[in-house]
Amino acid sequence: MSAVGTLLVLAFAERVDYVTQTNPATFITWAQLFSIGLVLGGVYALIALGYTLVYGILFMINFAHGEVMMLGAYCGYFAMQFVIMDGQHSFEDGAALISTIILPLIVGVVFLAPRRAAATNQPNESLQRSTIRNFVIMPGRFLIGLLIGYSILVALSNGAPHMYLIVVTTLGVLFVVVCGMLFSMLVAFLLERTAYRPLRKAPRLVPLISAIGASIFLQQVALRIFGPGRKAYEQPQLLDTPPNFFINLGTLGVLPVNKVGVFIVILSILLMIMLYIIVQRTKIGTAMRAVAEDKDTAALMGINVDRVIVFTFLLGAALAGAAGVMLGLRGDDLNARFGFTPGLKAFTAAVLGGIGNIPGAMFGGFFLGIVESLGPQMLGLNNDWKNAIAFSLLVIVIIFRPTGILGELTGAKKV
Amino acid sequence: MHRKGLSLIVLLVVTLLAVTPVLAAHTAPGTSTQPQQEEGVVVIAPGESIQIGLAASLSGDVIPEAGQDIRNAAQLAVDQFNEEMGGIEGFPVELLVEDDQCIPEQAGNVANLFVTEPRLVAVVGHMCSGATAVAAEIYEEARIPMVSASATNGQLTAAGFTVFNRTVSNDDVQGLVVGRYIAAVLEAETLAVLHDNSDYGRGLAETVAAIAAEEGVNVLEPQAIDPAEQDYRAVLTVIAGEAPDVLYFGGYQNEAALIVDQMREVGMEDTIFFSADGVLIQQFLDLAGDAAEGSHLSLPAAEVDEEVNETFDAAYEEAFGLAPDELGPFHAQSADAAAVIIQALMEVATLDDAGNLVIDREELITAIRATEGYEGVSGTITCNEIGECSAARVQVFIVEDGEFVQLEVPEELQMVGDSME
Repeated sequence: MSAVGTLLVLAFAERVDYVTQTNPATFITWAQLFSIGLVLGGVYALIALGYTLVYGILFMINFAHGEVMMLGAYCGYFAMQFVIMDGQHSFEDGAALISTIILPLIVGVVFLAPRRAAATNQPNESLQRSTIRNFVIMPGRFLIGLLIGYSILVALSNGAPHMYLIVVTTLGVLFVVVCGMLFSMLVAFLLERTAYRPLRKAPRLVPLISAIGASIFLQQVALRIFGPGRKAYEQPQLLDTPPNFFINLGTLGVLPVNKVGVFIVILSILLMIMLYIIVQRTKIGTAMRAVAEDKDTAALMGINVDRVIVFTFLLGAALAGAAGVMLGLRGDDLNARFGFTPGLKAFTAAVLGGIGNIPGAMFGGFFLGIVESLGPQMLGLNNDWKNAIAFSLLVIVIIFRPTGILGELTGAKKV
Repeated sequence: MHRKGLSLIVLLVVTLLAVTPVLAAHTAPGTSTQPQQEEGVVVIAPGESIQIGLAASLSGDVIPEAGQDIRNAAQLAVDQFNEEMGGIEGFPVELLVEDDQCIPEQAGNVANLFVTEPRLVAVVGHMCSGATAVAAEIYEEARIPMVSASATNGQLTAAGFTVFNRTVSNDDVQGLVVGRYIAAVLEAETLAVLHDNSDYGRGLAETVAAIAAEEGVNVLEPQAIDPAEQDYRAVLTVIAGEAPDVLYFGGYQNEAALIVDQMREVGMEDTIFFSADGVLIQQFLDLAGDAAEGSHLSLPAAEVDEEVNETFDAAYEEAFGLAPDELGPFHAQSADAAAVIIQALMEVATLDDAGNLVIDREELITAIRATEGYEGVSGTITCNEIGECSAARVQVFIVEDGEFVQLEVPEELQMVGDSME
């Protein structure tokens, strides 16, 4: 078996060597292809995490996950329409309006948080004092925070217009992303209640079919509600005009880097770090891992299994919603079938990395994105072969490592 | 043994069930209210309608707006005819609409449905070339003539169908003129070719590539994209490495909008995007926005009677509440497709002694193909021996300030050489 593997790798290397010798694409082309793959991979990884999280706990494939993403992207679209007031003003003006509400609120909450933490450290506080604290001091602090947040914004708009534009755009985009995430979470919550929970005790194939049914149902509902035409996000000026900035690599040439791409990669990595912290460091994360390991024992230890399962769905849906909005911001056009292909690819990525394994899904997503992007050029084939290459790779990986690239740890007990 | 016995019984029951209606029909011909149907002849009883099928993409991913436009226009033509002429010999014409989503399998289902309709005499459609190729096989067998308003692939008429006609121009002609235009007017040195693997897009792109190569343009190897995906940056990056002057795309508006947007990202600002009638739709401009500026698009269109057109547009707007151009480019061809069918029906339909309307299928097929000099909305329609009925010439448009602006096409490019049929 390993001999066959070695042979395959050698043949592959030989072919790549031959192609790069005969058709030398510039370094810039390769770098560009790599960066495109990285962006695509970031999105795949986010969606793949949703598949893997649910599989890790319920051992079921949530085939409606792509549709959850699609609906999140649609909600992002409507949030975007809300920001621009149906095209009455530009994204920047709308975002400025939204920011005057969001930024003071955020600063206000920031002012609230550390004081409360300090206050809870005083157990012998009298009732009267705590009443004063609750009804006078805390709202007062919050108001001060609001004022400071607002004045920051005013100061920025007068003193540093460019900085102001960046802050406002970031807040506007984050507003859209958060809307998409929340709506996806709502959809996943309802989905879990109606389509999966009643079938928790049923044989494993039953929820799978239910998931496929839910997927088709959501697609058709979206088609009826939003219509068959495609919809495009309004692009923030800062991210779109011009779409690229350029890195001068000296003798190698000038590399154009897509701004939205950078934004997507950074945001997806941030979200993945957040997910990692939630799973590894928080109470509910510990509970998730316990349920993944053994549902019955976890229940005996006092863990509310139902709640953990819902939380897992919500977590995956939030990531999918963010991924959907990112795709929209990147210029993809929304339609009812929007979730299908990315969903399928992300599922592939999850299997490639080892389904049920969180770092595996992240790795698999990036790996698949980069292979898709670089594959045809490396092998000197027409772009037609992109998916054939990606899926052959999946088959080869599965033959040699049936549990996926990083799937070793969880593989044994789940079969 | 027990099993075998059971299956025999089942077989027997199934056979009986299958045979019973046939027996009933044969033993009691007089009791049926339906007039007796002969092979190859449609008989319509008084009070019933003559049906014309229409198949287009109404909800699919491929330009459903254009499909709705085709349906509206044909419906208008049929309604107007019924109103003005009171039908054929008093028999009203009815349009039977089905959605094939431009998916070949779905088109096969629709065609199989249509051929089982006893009063259905002809079909307007199908809309997309790939769907039409599948459906035409079925209609050819069933002897149902079809007139498509939008299926432009060159193979369709070259395949030798006796039932297939179209009121829209052949892509081979469009590809020929566009290939020459790219070489002579745009003076391109390098041409990159991209298509969406549909019959329409691929056929057009390959024709353009072949003609441009003949004219001395350096044509890169054609690349394909998958319309199920939306990220074409990788293939565009590879193309950008060759720095082509023109990128020709054979396909539809959704993908085109993504391509022009992504071309800017991979550094192809200086490359001219060129496509055809599948993209020449308002939605392309809506989706692509500024990125569409400078795109070239071709459209086969005939010299038209302005007055006829304006009357038609006004009637369309009154009936459906919006101007036909808002939906798609094929309304005139679709109205004419329906009209050509009705025209032929009037020639061949006769009344029998019982007052039934009798239409011979073979005669109808011949009559449609013999259409000559019909003054339609899309120009003068004369079908040739392979079913090409459009007198269209190729127009080229450029996108300027969010509008399609017509460009002049030199007369010598329009000349169709001896190599073309």
